[in-house]
Amino acid sequence: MRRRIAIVEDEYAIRENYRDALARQGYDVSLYTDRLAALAAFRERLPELVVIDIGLGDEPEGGFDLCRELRAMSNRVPIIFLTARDTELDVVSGLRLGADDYLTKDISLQQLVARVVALFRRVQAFEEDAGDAQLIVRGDLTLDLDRLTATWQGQPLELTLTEFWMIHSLARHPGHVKSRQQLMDAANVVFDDNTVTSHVKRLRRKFVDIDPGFNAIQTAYGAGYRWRPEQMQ
Amino acid sequence: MSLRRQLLLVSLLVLVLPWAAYQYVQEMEQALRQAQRTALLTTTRAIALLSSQYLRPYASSERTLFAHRIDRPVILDGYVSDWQQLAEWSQPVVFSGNRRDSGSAATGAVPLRLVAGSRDGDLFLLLEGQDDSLRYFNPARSLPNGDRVLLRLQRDGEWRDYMFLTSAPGTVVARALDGRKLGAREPALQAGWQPFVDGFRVEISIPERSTVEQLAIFWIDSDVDSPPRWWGTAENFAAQRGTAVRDPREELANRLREFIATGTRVRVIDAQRWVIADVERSTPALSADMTVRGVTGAIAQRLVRAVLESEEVRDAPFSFARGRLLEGGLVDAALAERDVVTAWFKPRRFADSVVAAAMPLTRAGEAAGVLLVEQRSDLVAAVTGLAMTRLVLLTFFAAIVVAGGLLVYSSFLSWRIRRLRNSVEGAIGEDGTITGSFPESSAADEIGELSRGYGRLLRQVREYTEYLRKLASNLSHELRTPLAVVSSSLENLQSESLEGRPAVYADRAQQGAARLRAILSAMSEASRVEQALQGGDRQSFDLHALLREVVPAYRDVYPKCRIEFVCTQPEQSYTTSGVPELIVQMLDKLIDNAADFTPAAGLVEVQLARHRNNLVLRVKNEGLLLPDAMQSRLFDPMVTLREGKGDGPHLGFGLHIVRIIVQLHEGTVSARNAGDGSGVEIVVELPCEQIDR
Repeated sequence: MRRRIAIVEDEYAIRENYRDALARQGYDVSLYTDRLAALAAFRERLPELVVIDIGLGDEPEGGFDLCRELRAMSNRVPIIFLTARDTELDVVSGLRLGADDYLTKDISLQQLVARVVALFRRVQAFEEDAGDAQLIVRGDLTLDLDRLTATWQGQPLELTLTEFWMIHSLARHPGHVKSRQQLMDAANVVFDDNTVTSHVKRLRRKFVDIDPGFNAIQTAYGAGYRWRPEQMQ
Repeated sequence: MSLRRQLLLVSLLVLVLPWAAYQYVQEMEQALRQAQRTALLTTTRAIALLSSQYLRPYASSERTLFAHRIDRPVILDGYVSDWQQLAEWSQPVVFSGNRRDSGSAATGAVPLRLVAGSRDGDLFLLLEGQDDSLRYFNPARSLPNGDRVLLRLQRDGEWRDYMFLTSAPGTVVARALDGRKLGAREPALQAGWQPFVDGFRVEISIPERSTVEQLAIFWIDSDVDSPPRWWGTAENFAAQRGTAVRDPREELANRLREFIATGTRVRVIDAQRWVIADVERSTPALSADMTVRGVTGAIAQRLVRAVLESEEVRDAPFSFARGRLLEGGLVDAALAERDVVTAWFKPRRFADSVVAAAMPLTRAGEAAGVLLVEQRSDLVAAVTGLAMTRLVLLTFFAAIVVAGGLLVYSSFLSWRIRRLRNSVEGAIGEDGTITGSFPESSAADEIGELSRGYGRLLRQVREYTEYLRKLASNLSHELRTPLAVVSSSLENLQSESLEGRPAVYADRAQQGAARLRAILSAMSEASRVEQALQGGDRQSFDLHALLREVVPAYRDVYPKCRIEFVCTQPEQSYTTSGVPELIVQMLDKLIDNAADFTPAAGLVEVQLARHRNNLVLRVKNEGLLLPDAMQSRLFDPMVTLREGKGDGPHLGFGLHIVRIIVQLHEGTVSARNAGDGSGVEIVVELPCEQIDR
């Protein structure tokens, strides 16, 4: 059964291009140009993944509103923001509203497809709830590679896909420095270094919210970041 | 010249006030002098009229004996030398008669001349008569006989008769007359008797003129063959009415005294240049309210007088010696003019100037003397001097007050202008950006308007620079969507199985899109850096440790040049507060920049030092020097010295981002050519974290 993806995007050419790219991968893609049309369709039937642009026609924040309304309908539908806006504020707002990922339109179609695939994989992992979870445990950190979820000291971390793959990349080999580029590659995204920096910053904050003494992610100035080996924690 | 000095100079114009006051007082003085001169002329004419009456010959009907003052001692010798000065003052002897007619007046010419004079309170009479047959007294006869003089004197209302008769010329002592008989000698009354060719002279001396109320004098001429005849100053020998004795000079003086004003001296000079009257009334002391009180006042008055009376000392145009006119410049002028002449003079410095008027006195159309009136202008001087002093003082103080006020006001103005300038300078940062807030004045005047104008200008410039600053990131946002269209379309195109040329073109287009994406990313980097810092997360970190860690990493990135880290004082603390990621990003830009301009195998040196409370980071590279004009603009966006070579896009944002990061860390950054000319160094100064925190 083909998975259904909804793209809410006011720019015709981009909309169509994304649909083509995703359709080639065998997804069932429906397109919406504005918030109300998308909302009406979602009320009929929820898609399995939604890609939303923030600025929708006359509503500069229409994507945010739609995300909020969609989350009210379903807590489980993966939402990806795909937008030209790349300010820190927009990223933070988008993720706070419950989006699973926040991508800028610089991203290549292949990357977009990869993110979509990864998100479906997570959904699938939840749905199947397979017994043998593929786990990586690093001290207090536990990463579930099937469900793409993470816990710290037993408490779940609400991570976006990007953040999950970054943590995964760091924690897999504690003590190894991962450059920003490597982190981006791991997360299948193209950012500039600053965006990586702010992602890491946000990641740290999520850990600190659970454990104020968290210091496992170390900055290697000029090089990147590393997961602190357990004996040093 | 500062505004304050200019206004101070302008305020000196106020000094025109005392000058104007001085001019005014001068004119006032001129006017007063003119008025005084006019008044003096009037006075002089009046006095002249009065005086000439005393110079006039006496009408025969007058019953007055004018006893002029005689300047020389009178010797009773019957000679007229001592009477010279009174030659013209003969008195009329109007009555005559013969004794048998007992008082009826005789007809015919009177052969008698009487002159009276006074000296030292005594009265002198000179009787001069013509008589071809002088007959002397015969003492053998009991009754008076011979030619003789009868003098009647009224003292205390009582008449007494005295007879002068002599047997020979010489001194004669009067004898009282008792009825018709000769009585006792009266030694106080003496006379000198002297005959001459066809007549005689008798000089009579009468003591204590002032006691003589009236007198009458008769000449009795006895003849051999006819009854004696007489001439005299009264109707008969027993007349109760005689002749009053008067001293015309004294009277003149008394009359003049009534006329003259204070500070005036009047002198009447006769034709022989003798002073016949000299009257003066001194100036009264100035009343208290007409003087300037106090030491300052006195000094000021002195000063004013010194200025006011700077006119040179002028000698009086006449001089007197021993009661006589010695030099008569003015008097001679008056005589020549036949009219009143005035002159100013000023006998001494710091004395009052004097106005003098001389007027010829005429008698019967003949010049008979000159009236000389002098008036001291001390009143004028006092009034003008006082007015001057007060005016000058007042205006001077006014000038000082005005100048002071102007000075204060100009200081206030220039303070406002300076404050405005400082605000403008404060609002414009070193790099030309408008940073601080500009306090606009609410004053309603031009400076306030200027301030508001500046405020508007600065606001507009700030908005403009803000717009320019945001332009790059805004532009990159706006371009991102069409770029996404292009690149996603290209990717879709590539996923269609293209072959041959179309695949090559699609590939090239994809590369171009990728480059465009990198450019857009660079353009929005600056604003993202700012956002990153606004996001907080400042922390303390050791710059030294950071550099030690980071710099070696660059060696791998830039293998073509040598990158060295030098810290001469490693023992110092290099702790600062900030975002280390941004500092690293700044270093990335600096090293990248330095490596680009360094020739192959050149040296890039990163130096760290501490200067007081600043951490000084120098990134030096060998290579081309900076053009002078570029040193300050180097950190502006879209300024680059790269010449289009190289692989990545270079829009000149690198050093701009360096500056943004440094500024966000409250530091400064500058570029300059290294002192030895070997290359360029970029100096970043960051504030050190305070140790006591």
